[in-house]
Amino acid sequence: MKYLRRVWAKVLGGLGVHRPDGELSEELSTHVELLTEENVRAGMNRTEARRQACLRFGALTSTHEACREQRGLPRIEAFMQDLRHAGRTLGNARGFTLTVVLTLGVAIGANTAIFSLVNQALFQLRGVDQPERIVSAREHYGKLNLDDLGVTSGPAFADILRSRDVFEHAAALISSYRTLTGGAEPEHIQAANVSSEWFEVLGAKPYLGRTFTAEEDQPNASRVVVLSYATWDKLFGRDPAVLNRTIELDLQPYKIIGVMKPGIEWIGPADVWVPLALAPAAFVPQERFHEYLFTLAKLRPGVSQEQANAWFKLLAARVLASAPPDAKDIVAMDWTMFSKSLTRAMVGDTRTPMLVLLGSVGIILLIAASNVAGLMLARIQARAHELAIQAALGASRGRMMSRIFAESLILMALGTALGLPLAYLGMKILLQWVPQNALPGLAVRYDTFTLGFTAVIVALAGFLFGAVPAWMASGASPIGAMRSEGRTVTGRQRMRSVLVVAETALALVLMVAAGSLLRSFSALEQVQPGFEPGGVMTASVSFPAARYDSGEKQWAFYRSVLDRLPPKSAIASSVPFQGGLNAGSFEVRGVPANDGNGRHADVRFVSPGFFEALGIPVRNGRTFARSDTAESERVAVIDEKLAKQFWPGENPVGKQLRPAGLPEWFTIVGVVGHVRQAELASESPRGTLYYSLYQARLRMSMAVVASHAPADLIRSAVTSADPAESTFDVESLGARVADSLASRRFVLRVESCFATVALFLAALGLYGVISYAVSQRTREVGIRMALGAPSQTIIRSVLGEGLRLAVIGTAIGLAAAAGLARAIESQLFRVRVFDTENIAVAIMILFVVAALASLLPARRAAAVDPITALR
Amino acid sequence: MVLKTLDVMGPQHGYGIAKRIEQTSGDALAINHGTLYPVLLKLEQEGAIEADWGASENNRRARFYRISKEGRKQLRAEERRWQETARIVGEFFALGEQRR
Repeated sequence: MKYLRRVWAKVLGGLGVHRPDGELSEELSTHVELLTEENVRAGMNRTEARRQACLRFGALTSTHEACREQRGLPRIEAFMQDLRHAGRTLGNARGFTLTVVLTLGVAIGANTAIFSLVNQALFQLRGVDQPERIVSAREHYGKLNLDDLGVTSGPAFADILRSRDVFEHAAALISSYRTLTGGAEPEHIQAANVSSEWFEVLGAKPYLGRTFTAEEDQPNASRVVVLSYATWDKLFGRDPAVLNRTIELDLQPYKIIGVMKPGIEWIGPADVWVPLALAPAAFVPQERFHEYLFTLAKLRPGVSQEQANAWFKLLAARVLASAPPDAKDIVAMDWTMFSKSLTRAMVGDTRTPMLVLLGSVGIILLIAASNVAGLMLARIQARAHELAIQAALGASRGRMMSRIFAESLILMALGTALGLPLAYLGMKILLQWVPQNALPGLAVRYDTFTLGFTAVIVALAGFLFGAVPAWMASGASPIGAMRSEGRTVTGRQRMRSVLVVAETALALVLMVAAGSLLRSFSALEQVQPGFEPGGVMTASVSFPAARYDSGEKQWAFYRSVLDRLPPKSAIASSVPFQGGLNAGSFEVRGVPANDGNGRHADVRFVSPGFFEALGIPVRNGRTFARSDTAESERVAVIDEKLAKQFWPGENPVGKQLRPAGLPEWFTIVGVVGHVRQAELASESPRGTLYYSLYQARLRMSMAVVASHAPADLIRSAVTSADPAESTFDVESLGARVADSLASRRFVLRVESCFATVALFLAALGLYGVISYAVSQRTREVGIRMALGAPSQTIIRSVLGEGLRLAVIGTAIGLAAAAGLARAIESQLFRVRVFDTENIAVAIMILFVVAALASLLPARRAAAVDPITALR
Repeated sequence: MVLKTLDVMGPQHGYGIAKRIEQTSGDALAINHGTLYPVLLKLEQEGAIEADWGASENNRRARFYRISKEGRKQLRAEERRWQETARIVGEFFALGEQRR
């Protein structure tokens, strides 16, 4: 307590809050005065009295000094003095300060921005409480190449719900489109059909009202809805009196019971939440292998994900042991269950690219820090004389380091002050580039974790460019420094060269990475998807099951829409690159169903004209015709991949197959080309099976219109076919294909930016070193020119020095790129990191830039006037 | 000693304190008066003493120090500790006397 009080008083004293020096000297002189008077009274003469008094008192100055020390914190005071001094010197060296602060600001900003996004994407999820405790239940069919189904069945969901000792909460979701009716125009919104514990699993709280009760999550219960914050804003202008009012979804009234805080609506995604209300029939054992529920569960505290996985394995084993005989082929398909952390489930494939970006931005930071270190060294070199004099006058090494360190501290603080707003800007830009479908739920955000990260990198960078040069500078012997004034100080120049070589190497690594990504991207753009997206517009329609409860009603709707559209138009259950593709099993007539070979295919229901509209080539036989209806023979079209898989070397036309669970056999009438379904980089492992739209009733009440007509025409065709209908998710097929590359485009863009920045910083570093070397060699150059050396020779020798550094940097960079190759090879498509062309281009750019950076100082050297140089 | 002096004599300036200490110790503790000031500053920072400007005997401005409540407490504790130490050391030496 006493101690704290003293420290506080000292801090105040150090800041000059109490008692200025004048008061102290007044007090002391009074004391001496009193002593003198005492002596005078004792009979001494005035002079002798004063002399004795001074002797009695002791040295005035050292008393002063002692008091000053007692009053403040001497070390801190000295450092504050250093800070003020550093501030003044930096203010004088504007160019230097500006360069350093900009470099640091950009590096810190970029690192903070990328880290904030990576942190959000990989470790935290927006709106979700304790994401590390949430798992997503998954299923796996090894033999079908279905590694991760992403969804589970009703019985599996029931099993999870029952195991309260493992899972605190569990909930399931089905996304659907709903039509918001009752307004001026019907409007499509995204509804998340969730079971009652959904909000508990995610730890999300309502902003107004409440969420669903277990009773409301029953079939035929009263219709209730929870609005997202955005929907509440859009529909009701954030009217707080919204509770208990109703909205109309698909012509049916739903009572609003709550409004959620903004946050979790990206999972689903959801404009509104409605109860899932699964019927008891969804939980019967026959439903075991019918997967359609996105299931999440929150682990009990203390239960690890490994334990959850073990639980799933056990469940799968129990299910298989008691599997009915007709499910034997499931057993043969190597079926099992497992869990995935929520973060993994939501982020998925973007993990590696995110880490690559994080690594790259770290490289930028390294380059920036070495650049600044180089500049600091140059500055110290320029001040070597001044420092030497200080050392000669007895400045301690600590004190000299503290001088230089104070400078770094100010630069660091300024760099951070610039970096944080830059990070904000960077996040905004990144968010515009981020593909929404691949990385949902990101926001511009500074959280404690991100700021902590920034603090760590700032400290690291500060150490690198502050402490190291400070140490080196303060160690120089004063005599050497004073003697060598005007000539090169080789040790430090070598250090700067090392830094520049490192920068060049790192820049090369980033350029090679960006180059491979670029080449990979253009290779992807060259991939033929198997159809011609040019000119095809697509739009989704949904038709509520309540009104379209029979095949006839659906077919009439399709016909009525297609009659209003030009010939190259079609309706299908889905189009490529749109998602929503189904997969199904089938059996082949004449082949035993349970032979252990899973017959599985991507399934699509299409109207006649689909293949023509999308430009999918016909290889054999015919496609669907208008005459293929419910009354005629059941027909199917397969693609060449399916033909090769199940009828190798045969003509499949005329063969028959039967979809699992249906009584009728379908005759194959044609074979068409295989199309890429979801991405250009890889084919679906399965072939595609097409059924005629007019021979089936779609279970999900949604279809896609694909036409060479403009979007407006499609919409008017749909609304005139049914006034309660409208189109949504309208996008040209070409744009859908391009969207599939969005993730890669994002990484490519960011990585290219990084490579450019790295190259620029490395060039700056090189320029600094070479131009300093030139200024040091002015005398030498002057002598050589006076002796008749042509200016080309001078230019060549300076250029040579720059390029020599670049060559060493390149060699090291290539070695480093080998390490990088492993990290990003998985992100590349038909391109290798160590591709001659790629490497050659990167090296060439590097050398051109290096040559430019050393050419400027070289020309300056050549322009040296021998007479002035020698004077 | 500074605290005791202030406790007994009431408010004093530096000169007074130095004189008093010299007198009490019978000039055995003849210190440089200057060394007193850092001590005063430390005590002031600790809150044991307070100071004000006033007029000295020769009508000059001088800082008068007086003991605070905190300082009295400290003084009492200090006294007790010292007497305790003195007692123990005293007994220790008495023990040696007896044995001899």
